Amino acid sequence: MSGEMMTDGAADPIRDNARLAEIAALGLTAAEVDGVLQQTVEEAASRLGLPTAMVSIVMDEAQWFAAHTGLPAWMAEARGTPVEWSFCANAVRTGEPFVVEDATTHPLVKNIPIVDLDNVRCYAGIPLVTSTRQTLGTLCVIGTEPKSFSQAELDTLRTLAKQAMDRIEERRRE
Amino acid sequence: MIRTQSTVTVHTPPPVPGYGLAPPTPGDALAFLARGVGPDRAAGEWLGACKRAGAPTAGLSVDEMMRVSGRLAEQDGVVGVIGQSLVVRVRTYRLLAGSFSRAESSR
Repeated sequence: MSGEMMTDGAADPIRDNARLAEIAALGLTAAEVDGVLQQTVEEAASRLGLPTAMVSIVMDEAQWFAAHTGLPAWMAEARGTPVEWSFCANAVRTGEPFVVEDATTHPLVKNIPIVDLDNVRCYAGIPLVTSTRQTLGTLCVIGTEPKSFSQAELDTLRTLAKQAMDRIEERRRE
Repeated sequence: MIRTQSTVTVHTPPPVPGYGLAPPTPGDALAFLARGVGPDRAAGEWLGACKRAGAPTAGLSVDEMMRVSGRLAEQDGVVGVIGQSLVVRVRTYRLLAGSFSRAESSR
């Protein structure tokens, strides 16, 4: 769990009301999966050669998978996890990309139960930041083996994250 | 573990072994809502969601928590997001607890 970075109450950006209101205004927790976001996660997994990719929207107490591919069955059915199991929450808190080469040794995530029980090993997440400067979540990829991410791979993920964010911004006008 | 609220005594479901996840309680939901919209509005949102779900306001089963969370998730704005968080937490608990229970019974 990412408890080492957790703070209580209003100081934690995860619980910021303006950010949560932006998530609501953009309709990002709808059950329907946006086709463009789905294409984006599939392209992310394919181009980085990893089994799993998702657009994760980090809410106050859980993350919501607005689009996903390659998740373990229970995560796909739940469409999310408790926020204390969210790697993406770290990117939301800092506003910076969060990269994990080996989750079993990374101090911020090694104690999250899905690392051992669902074999999460490597992770790279790019923050999804709105035009109003709210960080909603990430476009991220996950693998079941340790991995070093090259600069080119992270650049690819950034490009796809911008594509996802452009689509999310379009939702304001729909 | 036994939890008592008002005159209702409830067996709180145990955490899922390995994952350590327990389902959210009405107290958790009220605390999340109060943090988002203040304690007075939180109480009103909770009571309204319980009424719409046909559930009691305390001593809820996991299924009742799911229904009430779903009603909260239908609300606009921050309350809806908080409700959706609760939905994910209850759904995750049910899926993992069910999977653990099936694995145990097949041994």
